[in-house]
Amino acid sequence: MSETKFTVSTSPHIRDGENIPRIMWRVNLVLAPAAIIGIIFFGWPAAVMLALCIGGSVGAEALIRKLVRKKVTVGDGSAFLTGLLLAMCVSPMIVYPSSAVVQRYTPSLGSAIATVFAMNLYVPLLGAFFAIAFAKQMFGGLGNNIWNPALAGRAFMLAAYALLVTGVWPNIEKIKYPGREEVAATTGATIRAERKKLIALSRAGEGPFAPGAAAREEDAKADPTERMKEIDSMVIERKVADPKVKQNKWLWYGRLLIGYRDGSLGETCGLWLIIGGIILIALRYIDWRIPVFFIGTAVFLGWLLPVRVVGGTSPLWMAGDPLFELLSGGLLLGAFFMATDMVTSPITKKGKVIFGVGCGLLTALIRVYGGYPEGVCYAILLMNTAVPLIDRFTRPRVFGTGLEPSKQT
Amino acid sequence: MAHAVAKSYGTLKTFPGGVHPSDRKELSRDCPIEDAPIPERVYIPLSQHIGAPCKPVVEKGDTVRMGQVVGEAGGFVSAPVHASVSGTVAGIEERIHIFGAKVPCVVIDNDGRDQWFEGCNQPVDYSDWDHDAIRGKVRQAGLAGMGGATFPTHVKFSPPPEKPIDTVIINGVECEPYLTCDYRLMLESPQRIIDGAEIILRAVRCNRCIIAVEANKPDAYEVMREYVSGHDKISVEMLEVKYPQGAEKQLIKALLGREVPSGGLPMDVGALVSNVGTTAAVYDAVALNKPLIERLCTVTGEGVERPSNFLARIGTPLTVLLEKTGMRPGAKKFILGGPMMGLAQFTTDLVVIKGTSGVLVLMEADSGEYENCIRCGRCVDACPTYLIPSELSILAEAGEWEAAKEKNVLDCIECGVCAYVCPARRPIVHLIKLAKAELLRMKKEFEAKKKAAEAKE
Repeated sequence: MSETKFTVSTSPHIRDGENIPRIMWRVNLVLAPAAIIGIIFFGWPAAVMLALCIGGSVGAEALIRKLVRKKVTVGDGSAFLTGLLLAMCVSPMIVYPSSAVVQRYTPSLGSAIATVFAMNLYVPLLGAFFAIAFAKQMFGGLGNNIWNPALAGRAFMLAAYALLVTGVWPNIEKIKYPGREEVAATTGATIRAERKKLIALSRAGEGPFAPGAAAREEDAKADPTERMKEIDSMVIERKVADPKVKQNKWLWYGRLLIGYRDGSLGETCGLWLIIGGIILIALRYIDWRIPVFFIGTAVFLGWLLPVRVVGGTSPLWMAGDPLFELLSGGLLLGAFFMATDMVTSPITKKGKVIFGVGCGLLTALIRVYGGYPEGVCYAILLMNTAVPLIDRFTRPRVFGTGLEPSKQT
Repeated sequence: MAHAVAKSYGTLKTFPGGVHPSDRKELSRDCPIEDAPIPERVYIPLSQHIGAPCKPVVEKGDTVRMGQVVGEAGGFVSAPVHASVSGTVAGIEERIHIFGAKVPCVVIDNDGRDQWFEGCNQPVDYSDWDHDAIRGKVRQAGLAGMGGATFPTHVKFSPPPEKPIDTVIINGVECEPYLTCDYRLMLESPQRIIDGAEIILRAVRCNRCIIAVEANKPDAYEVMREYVSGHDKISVEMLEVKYPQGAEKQLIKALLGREVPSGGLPMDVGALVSNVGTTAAVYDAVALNKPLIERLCTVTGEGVERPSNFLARIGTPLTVLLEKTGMRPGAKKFILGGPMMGLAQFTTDLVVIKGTSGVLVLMEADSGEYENCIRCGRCVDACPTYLIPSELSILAEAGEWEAAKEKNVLDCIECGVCAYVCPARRPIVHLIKLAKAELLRMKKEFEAKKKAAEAKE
């Protein structure tokens, strides 16, 4: 009987069956519908972006693991997830060609190369490479990275190609169905950027708010509350063509919820992002504390924080639009899918609350006072940096320590 | 199913943390206790418990009878060992022990007559015994915790006067998956457990006793309740099914809400925990003058053809049990104890000892490959000691023993829930045990150096 060879290892000898590939691929699967809805709304550039970001991430991961002679870990789904998230947090219109490029195209190598550059196809590839190489593998691969790789990739693209990444967005109103003959990019702004710009103009008394501007001589000393309402409706006026939606604000919120608006893929379909987030919470892959405290803090402060709307008047408190804060921008994607990244968020429950509140606070500060219209990306990256510190100060009390014996009855 | 049963009993007590592995008790729960074959030859290891090993008191050629001492306790934290068959001592032989090293064993050739040593196995009138007499008898009988940890029982029964015991907990939780011998004992010998509990209450001069049963054993709960009815000191409590509910500290936390202080013992919070098997053995030792020469042992697992609950003599080769139960070809793991905390063995050439609660044969084994920690926090949520196991495993991997000590690695109870839930399949318990062993080695080195320096002066 002793002929049998037994495996000798330390206990436990059974496992609950959970493993990293299963977690990562399931998260990919949960996120996929939002990306697919994005393709439906924004057309082929979205598909190209997804393919380039995912391909770039997976390729970079395989290449680097090979170079450092470590086990190639692309099968675990984490590089795929990084690519997917990266594609979802930048404008799909980065790869949208101007009509001139299309007209000039001839089937030749030179023309193909020129097209690659003209269509900026290398930009998402570089972003994905940076995300994997610098933000993930340089630290030793999955588990050792400090920052969320997809957000680091986005920050890189934002720094390196600022105009491209922030300046070109799909114009949902001009996309035609069902053939999408014309996928229109706009050099305009997202709804968040539009609102921010209008507030700045109002404060400075310029643009449509200039004292001399037509039809508004009367409001040089406008009531800030009224002005804020005016700005909110101007955003809708400028970004929506449908007169029904212009009249009914709830239809506008509905559009934001299903993702029918200008923006990145990750701003698309907030409804699915919420459903997906709930699925991940139910699967226990994410902790509810991070999204709840993140969203709660960002929306509350977005509504509360004082803004000077009209120059010369005192700042206006409680003037934000909570639903707008919730549904516009990358808050839902960031709160459910990026801040909750296991590797780059605190490990204790208390730490997760602090992390969520911190992300929400920074997001609101950047949104209301910062130079960018959206703050989710930098808020999460900054809080990622603070994770070791949070972990250190939120260590659980070890069983049998720190209790007074007399109190134990 | 267990949870459905639990619900009908209302809110059940438990501890924070823990996991819910499939309990696999169905393999052997309906197998009544049967007498294991008595071998031709038994091997009685001289070290079967935590603490100092025994000194042999017999020589080759000596005639011994059942219950006769063959190895004397080597100190206070030690327990004697007894002959489990009658016959002739064939010698003292070094044999592989469950921890992998060799220990001396008294080898006895069985004469097949099962003759008891004089005075043993006879009813004793102990009604006027004081606690010292009970403790002395428990010590003589060689009792050690039979839940698996094998801490000498009489040490538990000797709390200093400043640490009175106010609650005795009889542990019938048996939270390790697969194992069923405690369950069978509660069904088949409830009176011995209750009588044993009364003896323990007298030994430690305590007036409250709780018998703890997990909700996946409702019939054992009902049987115990029936037997304690009308008893004013003893009650039965059903606990939520969760691993490690039966771990001493977690059991005290669940039942009494008290936390045994870091580095302390249950007596520090006025509690004494005794496994049901040990409790029955206390009864046998005191009321029948029967030393610990046999114990219950579950032989089970997917790799066993006929899972069984045996009453086996100490020193019975495990191969004798496995011949009876059959072992499937291609078995991958051979474990003494349960799947969560048991010790994997490379050979079946071992014997039943005081702590052998189970023999488990599994058809599957881990590849041993693992990944970086991805900080998912599942181990933190599961840890019943509120540690950060992932961090400890990383520190141990890096050889940062002192840092691991600062992060309370010595408080780890090695229950295994962290590694059980780890999606990166990290050998967290292994690394923690390594850190503990290294810290012990460093401490010993330090003390040796200190002694040497003092000797010089």
